[in-house]
Amino acid sequence: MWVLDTVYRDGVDLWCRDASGTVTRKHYAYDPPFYLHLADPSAHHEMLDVLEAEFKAEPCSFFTLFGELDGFSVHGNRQLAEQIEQQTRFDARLFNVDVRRDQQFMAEQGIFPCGDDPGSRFSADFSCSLRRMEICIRDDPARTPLCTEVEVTGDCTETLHGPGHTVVADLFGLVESIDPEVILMSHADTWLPKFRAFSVEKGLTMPFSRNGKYRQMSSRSYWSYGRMEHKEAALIPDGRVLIDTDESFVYREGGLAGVLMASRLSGLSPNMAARFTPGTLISSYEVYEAVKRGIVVPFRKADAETARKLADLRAADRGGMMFQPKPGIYENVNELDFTSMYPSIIVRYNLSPETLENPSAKGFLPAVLAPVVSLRRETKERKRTEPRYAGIDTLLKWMLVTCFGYTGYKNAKFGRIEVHEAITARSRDILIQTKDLAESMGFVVLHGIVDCLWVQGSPVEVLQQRIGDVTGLRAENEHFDWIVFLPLNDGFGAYNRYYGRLSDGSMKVRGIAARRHDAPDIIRSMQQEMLEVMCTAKDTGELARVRDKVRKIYLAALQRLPLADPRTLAISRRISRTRYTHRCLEGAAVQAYRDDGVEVAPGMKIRYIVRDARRYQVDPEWRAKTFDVPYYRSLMEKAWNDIAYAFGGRVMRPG
Amino acid sequence: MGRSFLSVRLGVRSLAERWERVSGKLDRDSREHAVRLTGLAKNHSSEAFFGCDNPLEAMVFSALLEIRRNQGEEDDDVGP
Repeated sequence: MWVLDTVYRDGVDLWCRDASGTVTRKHYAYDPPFYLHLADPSAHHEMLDVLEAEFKAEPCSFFTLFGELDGFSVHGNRQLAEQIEQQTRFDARLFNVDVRRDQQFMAEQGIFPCGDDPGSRFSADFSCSLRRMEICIRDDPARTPLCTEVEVTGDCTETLHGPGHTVVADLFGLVESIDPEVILMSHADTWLPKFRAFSVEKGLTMPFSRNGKYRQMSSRSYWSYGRMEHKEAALIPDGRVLIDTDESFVYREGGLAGVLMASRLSGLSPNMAARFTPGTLISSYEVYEAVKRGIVVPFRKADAETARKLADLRAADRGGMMFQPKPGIYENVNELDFTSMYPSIIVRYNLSPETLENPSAKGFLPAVLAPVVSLRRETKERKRTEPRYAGIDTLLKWMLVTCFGYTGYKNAKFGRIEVHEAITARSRDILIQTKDLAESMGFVVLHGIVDCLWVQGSPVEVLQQRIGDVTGLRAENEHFDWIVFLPLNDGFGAYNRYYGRLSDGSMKVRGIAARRHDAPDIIRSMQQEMLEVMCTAKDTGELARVRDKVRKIYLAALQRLPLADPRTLAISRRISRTRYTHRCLEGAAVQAYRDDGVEVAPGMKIRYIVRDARRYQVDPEWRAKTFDVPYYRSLMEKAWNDIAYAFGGRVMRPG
Repeated sequence: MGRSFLSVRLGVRSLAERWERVSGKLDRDSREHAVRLTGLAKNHSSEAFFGCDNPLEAMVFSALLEIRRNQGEEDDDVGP
């Protein structure tokens, strides 16, 4: 059974695709109970009587991460679970309350979406040959009621252009006739509610759903990894995969193959997998695995950490290890990077909430992460020669990155802060062990950051081998012909701002405008052009010889600046708030958006052009006609300084 | 993700800024030494965080280490 989409609506609907590409709905009656454990059931006998009479409560036993518990199975919803919590003054421990029922059903049945061979779930070789349709809408969804210019690519390409009502009606016709399994649509989640309003008004049928039904996801703003994110509300069609190509992180990073892999692992429909963050995906994957293994999923975490002194907390919670680099240009440098270091540590050192007190037990987290870690190793290797694995590899990378963070997240179902601390403690030991090993073999360690070490010396293959033997973890190597570690304002080396030429002739760039999404296009492309020239230099001698050529690019860009198209000067920002107490450019941009009738929410991305930096005057991208030339000149100068450092800094050669 | 109290590394940064501000208030002769001292204190603070629990400890360790190193170099310069 190849499952394209799943929905829980009075039972589970599985939208299955057969070999000929026909998609049909199969409905399964399914009403699983949640589980209740009470330390002293007799203290709550009246409540239990009601649960038995009204909600089919029955005594049973079930397995948690920490062992078997006696309790009751109860057929009720989340509201009932919350009432039980209140009634028992949070004495009750509840399980499987908020597990998605379609996901739970599939985990129990041993099936998963986007694949039909139960043995192939952890394989990167699966088919993505779905009937797809790409809808590219040129209009800005925040400022246009209906789209007027659309390019549709299916078996052939069609362009729709004209009044909104005609274009949308024609688009509906195309979706109906092509009948795709997957729709890739720009700003789909913003357009669909507008399309629905239009179809209701005109009495049309919106054909995105196969049965006319849509699930709703509400909009929300949330903090993720220290920054505010915003997710638009979404209308999700039944029986067809609709991906918002602009908003879906998973699609942007991993393409359709990444979305399908996420769906296979997490047991969520591709429609959901495309809309969730990697953190939610790894968490869902753990839930799927728990259900599959007969372990119940806690509704609220009960394993709170023990009270500790602040000094002990500080000592335990230090994060990753860093060795600050000395700014400069270095020749013949090897970057040794531990593949999926944190998840590998979880697996190798058996770190899981339940193994902290019982280290000899086989941990849940290591057991479920092990196949993902080995799949990532495989895709990382295979993508070197077969680019089709790159999307899956990126998806796995993100899921594994976040699996560590989730161990320290207060609401993580299978997380515990002590596990988080144990992982970082091991990682610090490993990085120091690696540094000592490298130095004992005559290497010079230039820089180190969490799971990566930059060294000068040889033979690096022997060092790699020794690292593997000593730490049990695999370190990949990338060789730089030369690398520039940039300085901070105080002259010390920056941890995450560097660029250099790899031995395959490509450039690796981190932390400078050429790679930053918030930098204006004009500055990003200027720096990229400079780096392309620098990339031809195989050593620092050749690098010195391209200096004049690179400087000319800067001077030419400066000269062209006053005549630049204002749209190439747009600065992108993800706003963290909508009210600002101090005057700033970002606050002015938020106000400019509002003045143009565009709703803004924390986490949203805005793009603006600075008209007068001193007076904090900015324009939204669509309205900008003039710009503050000296302000942009200063940004250009800053970008040039990062590049010019390569020509003025001290050259450090090995030995 | 994890807890969020000031890390030793960030603590060093804020202490160093304070030391730099203090340096600016000193007379010209002392100012130069104070600025250098702040630099020495920051030199190894990022590695020192591995073993030190507070930023001041990391900065003092880093400064003393560098001072000792400079002394060693001076000792080496002195002939027999």
